[in-house]
Amino acid sequence: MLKALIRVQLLSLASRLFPQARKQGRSALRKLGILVLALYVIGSVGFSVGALFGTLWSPYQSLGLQWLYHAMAALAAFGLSFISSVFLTQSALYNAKDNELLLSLPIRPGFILLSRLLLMWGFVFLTQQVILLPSAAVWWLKGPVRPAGVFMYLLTSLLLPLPAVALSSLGGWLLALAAGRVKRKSLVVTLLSVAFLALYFYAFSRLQAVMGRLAAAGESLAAAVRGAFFPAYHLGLAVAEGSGLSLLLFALCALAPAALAFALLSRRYLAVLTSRRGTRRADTPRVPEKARSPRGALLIKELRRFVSAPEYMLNSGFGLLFIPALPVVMMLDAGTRAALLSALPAGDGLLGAAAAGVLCLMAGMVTITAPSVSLEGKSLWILRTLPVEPMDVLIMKAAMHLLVSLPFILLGAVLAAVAMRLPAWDAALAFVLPALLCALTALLGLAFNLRFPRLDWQSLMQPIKQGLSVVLTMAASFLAVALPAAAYYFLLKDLVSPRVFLLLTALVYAGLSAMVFRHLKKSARDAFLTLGG
Amino acid sequence: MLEFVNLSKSYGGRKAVDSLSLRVNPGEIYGFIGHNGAGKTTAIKCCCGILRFEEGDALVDGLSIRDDPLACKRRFAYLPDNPDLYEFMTGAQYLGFVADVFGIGKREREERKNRLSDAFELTGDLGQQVSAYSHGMKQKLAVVGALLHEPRLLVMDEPFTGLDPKASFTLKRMMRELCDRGGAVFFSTHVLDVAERLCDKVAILRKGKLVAQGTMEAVKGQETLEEVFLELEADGA
Repeated sequence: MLKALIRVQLLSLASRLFPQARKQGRSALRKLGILVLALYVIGSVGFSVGALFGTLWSPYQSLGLQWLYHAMAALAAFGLSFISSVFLTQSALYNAKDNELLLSLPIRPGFILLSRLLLMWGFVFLTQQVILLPSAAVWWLKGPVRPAGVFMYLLTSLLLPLPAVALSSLGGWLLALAAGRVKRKSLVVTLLSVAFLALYFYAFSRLQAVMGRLAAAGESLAAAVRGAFFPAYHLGLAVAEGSGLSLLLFALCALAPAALAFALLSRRYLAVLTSRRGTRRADTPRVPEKARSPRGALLIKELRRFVSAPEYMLNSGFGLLFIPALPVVMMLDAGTRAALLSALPAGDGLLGAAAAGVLCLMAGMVTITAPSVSLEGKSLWILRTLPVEPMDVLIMKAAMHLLVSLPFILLGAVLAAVAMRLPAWDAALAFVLPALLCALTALLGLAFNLRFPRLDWQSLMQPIKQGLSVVLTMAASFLAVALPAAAYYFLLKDLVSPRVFLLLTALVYAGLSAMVFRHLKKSARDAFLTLGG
Repeated sequence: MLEFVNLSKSYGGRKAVDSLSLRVNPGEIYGFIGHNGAGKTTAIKCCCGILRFEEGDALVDGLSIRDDPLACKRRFAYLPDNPDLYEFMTGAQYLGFVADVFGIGKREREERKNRLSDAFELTGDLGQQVSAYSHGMKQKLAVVGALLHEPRLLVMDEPFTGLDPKASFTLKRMMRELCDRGGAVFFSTHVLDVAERLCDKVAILRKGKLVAQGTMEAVKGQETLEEVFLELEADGA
C-alpha cells in the first residue's frame, strides 16, 4: 500500500516536472542547453557555498575543532531546508490535490501522511545537499578523511532531514491555521516576503563578515554549539571522530522529533483534512462596476491578475524594489556614497552614464510580461472568443508592465540625481534610457512568451519561475545593457562623449522596440490561434 | 446564422473533423451529438475562432470566422464544457470585464446583469472571488457572461454539465426564447433525452464525419434518438 502511494506521488511529481507534451517537443539542442544551464547553476551555487565553508575549515582545524565545522554545515543545511520546506508542507501535506481522492479509497490516513512525509524527506534531503555537498568537498580537499568519518557522514546526511521534516510539517500546520484567519492574504504574503527578502539581502551582504567572525570565534562558538545545539555537536563528533556513541545520540535526537511529529499529525491528519473552515461570504457590490473601453478592461484585468498573486509580484516585479534601492542607500549612508563615487571613473557625464546603466540593469530584471501569455492558461478561451484583437491584448499586457515600472524608474532617476548630484541633462537620461529599456523588455517578454508559452501549468510558479520566456527575457535585457557598456568602454570612450553615447543607445533601444512591436503586430493573430497546439 | 462549409481539422495527420458541412438557421435549436472523441468540441472550437482549421470555413451570419473573426465574435457567445474563468476576479468583476469588451452601456449592463444573475440565482455570490465558486457556480457565471451582450447565436459545449435542475431549466427556457426572437442555438450534448426534447434539428458526428443530420423527426423517425444513435454507432464499429 505504502509503496503504491509513494509511486503515485513520484509519478505526479515527474509529470509536473517533465510534462509529456513538452518532453516530446524538445530538440536535442534544447535538452543540451537545459543540461548546461543546470550544470552552471549547480556549479556556481556549489562553488559559492564551498568558498564560504572553505574560510571555516582551516581556523577550526588549527584549534582541533573539526567537529564544529561539520556541526556548522549541518546547522546551515537544517536552517535552509526548514525555510524551503515549511511553505511546501502546506501544499504537500494539507492542500494536496489528490487528498479527496485518496480519502475516498480504503487507505488508512496514517499511510497517506507517511507517504507524503517520505516525499518531503526526499525534498529536504536534496535541499540540504546544497550546503552539505560543497562543505563535504572542502572537507575532502583540505582535511584528513577517514572511512569511518565518510560512513558517519552518509548516515547523518540521511538522518538530518528528519528533524527538519518534523518541524516544517508542524510549522506548515500552524501556517495553514493562521492563513485561514488572515484578511487580504496576498498583501500580507507580499509584505512578509518583501521583509524576508530585505532581511535575506542584508544577511547576504554581511555574509563575508559573518563567516570571518565565525572563523575567528572558534572556541566560544564551540562552547555555544556544545551547550545549545546538542544534536549538532554530536553529529560533528560522529563525522569528525567516528564516534559511534555520538552517532547514536544524534540518531535519537533526529528520530525522536520525527516520531513525535508523525504520532501527533497522524492522530489529527484526518480531522485537519476533513474539516474546512468556511470563509465569510463577500457581499455583492452595491456600486456598479465602472464602465471602461475594451482596452481599459484588458488593462485592468492584467493589473488585477498582477496584484492578486504575490508569486507574480515578487518574482516578476522583483527588480522594481532594487531600482530606487541603491540611490536610497547612497543618500542614507554617506560612507557607501563616497565609496561608490570614488570607484566611478571621473569625467564629464560619466556619473550620469553610470546611474543610467545601473537603473537599466535593475529595470531589465522586471519581467512582468514574460510569463503573462502563459498565465492565461486554461482561461485563454475567454480572450479567444471575445471580440478583441490579439494585438490589443498584448499591448495592454505591455502597458501594464510600463504602468507598474515607470513610477519606480522615475523615482530611481530622481533619487539618483539627488544622491549623485547629477545635472538635469544626465538626470533626464537616467530616466529616459531605463524607461526605453523597460519598454523593450516588456515587448521582448511578450515575443518570447508567444514563442515559448507554457499554458498547461498546475501552479503559478511554473510559468513565472520556470518559463523559458522569463530566462530569455532576462538574458536579452542584460545583454542590451552589457553590450553597449562593453562597446563604449573598450571601443568608443575616446571617440564619443558619454552623453552622446547614451543618446545613441536610447535610439537603439527605441529602434529595437519598434522592431519587436512590428513583429508582434504581424504575428499576434496567428500566434494566438496556435497557442497551446 | 451558423454554417460549417466543408470544414476539416487535423491533429498530427489524423482528421478530427472531416469535411463537416451543416447549417443552423435562425429560430433553430441545433443539437450536436457523438461519442467521446468524435470531434464535437474541435468543430465547435473551430467555428468560434479558438482553433485554426486547414480546410473549409465556418460562417456566422455569412461572415467568415477566418477572415473577419471580430465581427463574428460580436454576434455569438461561446460556452465551453469546462468554464475556466479568471480566478483572480470576483463574479461582478468578470461580468464587468465582459460588458466592457462588448461595449455595453452602464445602464443596460446593470439591468442585464441583475436580470440574468437573478434568473440563475447568482446575485448573492457576485462579490465572491471566482476561485471560491463551485463548478456549478462557475458554469452559471459563464452562462450569465455569455448572455450578457444578448448574442444572436449561442454556441455551447455540453452546457448542462454541472448546472442544477433549476438552472438547467432556466437555460433551456432562455435558449427557446432566444430562438423565438430570431436567434439560434448550436450545442453539443451527450444527454440524448435533452437533445430529443429540446432540439429542432440534430447532427450526429462519428470519427469526425457527419453521419446523420436534419430535423429531429427526419433523423429519428419512429425510434428514439438513443436507438438511432446506437444503431449508427454499431454500423460504424
